[in-house]
Amino acid sequence: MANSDGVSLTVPQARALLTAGFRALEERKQEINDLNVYPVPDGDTGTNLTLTMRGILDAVGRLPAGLREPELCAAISQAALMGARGNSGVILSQIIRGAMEVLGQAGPVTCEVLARAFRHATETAYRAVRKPVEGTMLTVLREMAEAAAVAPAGGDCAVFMDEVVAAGWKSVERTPSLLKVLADAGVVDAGGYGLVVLVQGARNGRSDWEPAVATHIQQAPVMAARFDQEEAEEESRFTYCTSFLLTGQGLDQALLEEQLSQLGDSLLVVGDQWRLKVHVHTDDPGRVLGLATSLGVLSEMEIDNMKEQTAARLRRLAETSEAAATDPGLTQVVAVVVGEGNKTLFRNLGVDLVVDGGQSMNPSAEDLLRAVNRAAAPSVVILPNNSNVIMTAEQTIELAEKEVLVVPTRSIQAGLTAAVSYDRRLSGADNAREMQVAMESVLTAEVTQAVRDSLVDGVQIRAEDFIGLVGDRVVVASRDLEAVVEEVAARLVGQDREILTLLVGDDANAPRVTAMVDRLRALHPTLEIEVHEGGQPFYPVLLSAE
Amino acid sequence: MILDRRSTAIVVDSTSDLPDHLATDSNISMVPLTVYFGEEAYLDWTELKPTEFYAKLKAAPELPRTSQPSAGAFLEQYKKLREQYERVYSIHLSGKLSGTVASAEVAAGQIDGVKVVDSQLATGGIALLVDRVLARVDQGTPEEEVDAYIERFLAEKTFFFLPTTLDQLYKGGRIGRASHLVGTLLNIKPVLSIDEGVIDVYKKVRGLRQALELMRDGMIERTAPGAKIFVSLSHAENPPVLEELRALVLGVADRDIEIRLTSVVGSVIGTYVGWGAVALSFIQE
Repeated sequence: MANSDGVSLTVPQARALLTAGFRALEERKQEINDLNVYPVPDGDTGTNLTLTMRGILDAVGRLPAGLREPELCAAISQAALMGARGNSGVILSQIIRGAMEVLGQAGPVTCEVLARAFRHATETAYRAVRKPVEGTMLTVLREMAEAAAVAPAGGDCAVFMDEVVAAGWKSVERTPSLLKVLADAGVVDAGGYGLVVLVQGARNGRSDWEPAVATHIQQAPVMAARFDQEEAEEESRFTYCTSFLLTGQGLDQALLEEQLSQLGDSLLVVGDQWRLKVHVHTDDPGRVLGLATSLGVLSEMEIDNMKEQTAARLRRLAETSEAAATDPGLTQVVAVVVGEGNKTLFRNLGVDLVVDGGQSMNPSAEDLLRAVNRAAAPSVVILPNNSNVIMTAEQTIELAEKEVLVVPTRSIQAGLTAAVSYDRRLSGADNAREMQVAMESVLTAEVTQAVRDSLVDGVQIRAEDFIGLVGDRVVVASRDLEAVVEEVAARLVGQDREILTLLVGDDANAPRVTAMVDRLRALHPTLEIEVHEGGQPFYPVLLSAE
Repeated sequence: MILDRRSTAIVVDSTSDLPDHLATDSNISMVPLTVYFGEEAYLDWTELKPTEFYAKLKAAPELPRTSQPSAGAFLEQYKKLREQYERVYSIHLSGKLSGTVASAEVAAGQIDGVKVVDSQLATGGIALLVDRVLARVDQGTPEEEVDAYIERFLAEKTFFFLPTTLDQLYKGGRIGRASHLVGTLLNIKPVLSIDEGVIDVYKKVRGLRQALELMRDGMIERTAPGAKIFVSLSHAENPPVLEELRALVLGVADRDIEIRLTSVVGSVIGTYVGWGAVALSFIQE
């Protein structure tokens, strides 16, 4: 199959390459997360890139081995689109899409083809971002493509790729000179860094086109299990599909993975030291949950009996009839929400399709698409409620078969205000317009705790400081939580605001916020102050003023 | 025939909450509903004025109940009026909110010369229709023209209101299509409307000021630039908010707005919308 100039891309090779890239990303995920400049615990670029690759791998793992290039590349593009999480994941999906458009049509892969793939990937990624910013993964990609265009194309592709990767690292180093926030925080761009890690990983996995899986089995038992079996998902010998979200501190992903691997298969443990999403097929969900409970707090538990097809069908029927029982109207809303209390607030406003989200747990396009498909109404409005989910939400517009509109809410608070104006009897466009107006009328703020020292928006922040953000700007940082909340509230309620809403988190500091509500009432006697248990992690309080 | 002050009388029920100048008009008579606080019965407006009512409402351990007038009460009124007037227009609270109009129809079936109109509205909305009909009676207008006007009014009018509570509408079974808002956790200010006689949600916001602006914007949306608009404003003993609403309505520059009347929401409608509610009714001529 391979000729002297290049090789055809096959399913096993694609798996090997993607696996190697994924593995490299996963190994350095925390490193990449730590590069996020925002001094709050939302460092999730590494997590998002890894989860996006994971989604692609899962899909490629299900492909028949004999698939030809055009179909294979199309499948990879689609999988990237579906699995994209967070803005970095969405951009990555567009990079992959661009590359696959070239690789799917090019025949044998040569250095020249790779150079074209880089160039087209760059064009596709730049097009996907409305306002491309230099000093980000876009710049790094473009400079890798430029290096690829001038690298010696005649010889060994490994040498060629080394030049591209080297150019990538140089570009990453230059990102702080292009983007002031990076320089202020003393870091390089996380997305660009992750991209080079991925490309380098894939390049190293290329050796002789052999699947890298075999040589790294002990490091990644999950991956081995997954790719040795064509349809692991369907033919699991275990009975219960168990999944949950584990929240805690200093969670050890590798250790938990090791412990759970004794109890079942199809294991997936993703996340960071604060939150881990766990999925496992097991015969003993009790022991799995028991193990996890000893490490932190569990939520979103789902235990399905995979062997009980009938039960599943009944459940689906029940869901359908439940959906049909209440008239879905013309429009339904999908909201990405973190925190049980916040979810209740959204449901209470008639938003019945709530997708779990939030910092470090950005949903994939596929997660959103699933929710969109559950809607019985002809139109769906998505409220991303997080700036890092807006692009993913916009991806579902082209993935979905029904009308999808995105109202780009950047916070839970803005999303709630938008949801207040939701009217199921109106068209999607009318709802989106009303929600947009509502969203623009609200001022939002948040209080969280810095994870490290930095200088943001001219405010000097020390690790452990409470920081107050109004809109997207840091306005105050202090050890004194009450002072930060007061300052943020005072800035919010400036001109003719009537209602101040506080969504209290499930953070250890949250009770201090609840305890100071009377003080806020005394400070702002003409204001109506509403307090709700939001239940979001990391943020003792989210505020909005209307 | 030509309808004028000599030939024509108007009957309303007490939920029209007529302002003084209409309530004391010699061509208009009113048949009251009854409000019960426990075992104590009061004839709406006749025996219980709004100020006393809201004071009692605040002190009452449980919500008052209301009941419609009997057909007999209407018949008695019609008979008396028919001795003097050839035609009686009997204009009432939406039949989907109260059985009052049904009582009136039963009575009208036993005597000729009485036309019963289901206003599909409440409080200041009914008063605005009465005001518009009376204006035609004042001038002397052919009966067909008055009937055609009433038909157009019913098709084109708007009634917005901002209740201070949804609980009473809900408990009283009058919540209509706004039922999903009951039990909302966030403090939402819904602007409700009465459409085709049924309570419906126009739009929802959170602040009072925003809600009043919604009402004004709804008026702009539903009328044409430069048009003549007749308006009525109502309030459940809440002058500050009423004045805010009035200023917003009068602030609309490119409409010829005439506020025909300002009324106080009486005990029957007040039982359902709560102390402090405001309403805006309008019709484009």
